[in-house]
Amino acid sequence: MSIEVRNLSKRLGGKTILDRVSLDIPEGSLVALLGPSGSGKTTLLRVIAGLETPDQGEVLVRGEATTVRRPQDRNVGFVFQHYALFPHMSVRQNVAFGLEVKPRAQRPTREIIRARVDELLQLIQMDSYGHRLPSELSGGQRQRVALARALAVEPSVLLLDEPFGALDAQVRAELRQWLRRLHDVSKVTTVLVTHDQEEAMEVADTVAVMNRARIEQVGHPREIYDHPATAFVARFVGQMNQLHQVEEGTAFARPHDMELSREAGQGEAALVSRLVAVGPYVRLRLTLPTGLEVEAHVTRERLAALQLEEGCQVYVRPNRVQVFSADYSI
Amino acid sequence: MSDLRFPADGVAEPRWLRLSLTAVTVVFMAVFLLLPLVNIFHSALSEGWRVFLASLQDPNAAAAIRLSLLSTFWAVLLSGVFGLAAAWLLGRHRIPGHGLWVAVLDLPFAISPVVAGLMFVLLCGLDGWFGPWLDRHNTQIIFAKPGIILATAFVTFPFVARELLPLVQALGSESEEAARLLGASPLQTFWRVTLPALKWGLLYGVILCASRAMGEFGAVSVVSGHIRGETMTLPLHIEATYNEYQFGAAFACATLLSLMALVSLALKSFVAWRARRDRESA
Repeated sequence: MSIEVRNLSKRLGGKTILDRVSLDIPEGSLVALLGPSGSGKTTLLRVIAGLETPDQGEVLVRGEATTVRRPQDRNVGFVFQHYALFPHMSVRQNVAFGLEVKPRAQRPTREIIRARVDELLQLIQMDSYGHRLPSELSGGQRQRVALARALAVEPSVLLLDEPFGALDAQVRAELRQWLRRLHDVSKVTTVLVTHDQEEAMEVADTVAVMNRARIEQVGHPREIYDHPATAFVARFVGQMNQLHQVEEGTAFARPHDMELSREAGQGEAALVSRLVAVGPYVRLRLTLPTGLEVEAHVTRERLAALQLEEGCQVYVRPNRVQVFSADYSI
Repeated sequence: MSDLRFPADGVAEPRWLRLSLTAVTVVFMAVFLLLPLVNIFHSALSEGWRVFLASLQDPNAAAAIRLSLLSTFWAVLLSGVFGLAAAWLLGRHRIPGHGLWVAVLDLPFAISPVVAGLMFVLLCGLDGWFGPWLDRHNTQIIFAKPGIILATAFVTFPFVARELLPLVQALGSESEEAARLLGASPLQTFWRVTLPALKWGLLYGVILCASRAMGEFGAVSVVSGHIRGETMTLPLHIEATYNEYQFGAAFACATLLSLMALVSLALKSFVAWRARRDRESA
């Protein structure tokens, strides 16, 4: 189902949490709300879910205002960062909850509920865990159960609030790939809140970058990375070197756009202060004569050709520079 | 290097201190708690089983037992409902004057029960604020059972609320929000999600409340009017028989009251143990 967020504003205790936020979420898409903590992304998600009421603006689902509907009538699947599973219910009971509480006329029969729960447990690869209590599961398993519970009612919108935030790195990576596959199959309109740019970039079709109660940029992950609209987006998404001041503002360049050479005249002279050759590319920390520190990423082959070590002299020149006006902060 | 070794007994208090603290505690418990309790049982049975049983079957004693059970029942019910409501309100919502309300919750603990009883007399007695109105409607509260129930309930009001407030705060609103978004109505959410999470705390508060209600003396004494067989609770009956030198009867009823206290103590420990087990597995 398509979602239209129109001009939402919300203040709480004298602080602006959402400042005239608008966002289009097309049917069947997976949109990530990316931003640092306190940027308003979770509040935006909660307004879409109907858990918070905005001071101004509205949320339209398929062109129809939802702000007037009760949360239980919105057909929204919501997954919380800390799972919010019902601790006294087994995995099966948790997953079946949304079906069990339906009004008698709409409630499926016991057999149908059982079959549906079986199906969902299979989907999250937890067939044999049905009778466990949430306290007997790992964090990753709990979050999968929370997802299955949200999917059980066949929501028209799936909202995920930092769903993998409390999990360790390896489980996170697995679960986000799984989430992407799930979305490819189910095509449920999904909104994912995250402060992890890697997660947003990897999973979402569209990323909305939020900062200080506003959306700074909306676009395809690649577009956001290659053509950041503001200095904030440039620095928040991927690594960015802040270079010299120019007339229009400050110049920025990505570490992989830093061209290195051993020949004088090919850029500014710099000292290799740190060299980390772990992973697919080599990370170099360079100190310029002005005291400015920049980072450069080169391939292992390039490093071998340059024959660089810590303490070496090198000449550095950015291939591609982006200029933003100075008005920003992280 | 041996100087740097962590001393095995380094952080614990010296042995003599531990031993003397233990000794003080044991002696205190024996002299001030255990010995009197044993003495009550002993005195109650000093005139034989027959006298013991007869004093409990005495019509006035039986009436007092019934009234105590009745007022305990109502006090538990009232403070259970009130405690749930108050804990939910104060634990979940930021109402104006939050801190003040939490403090007011403790008022029945802080105030002397006698004063609490007097408050009810001032409110509902014949010369009280609502007295004439109540009299016109042929309702008697003071020197009657409703007054005893109200006084008992007032004194025990904070138990459930105090027990539940931190639990409600710790529970947070997320699982309730999850239930609502899954389509549950507010009532379904309360019965299926909120209440099960609070059940051990609620039970613990109810037991504390019941044991306090059974033993309540001060507030009840003021509003009771001491009418034999009608407005005497078990503690009042014990005092009355004792003052009339019927030591056997007094100690028999005291034994019963002590037994009820011991039972609630056992229940309380069991519930606390279950609650801890649930919490640890959560």
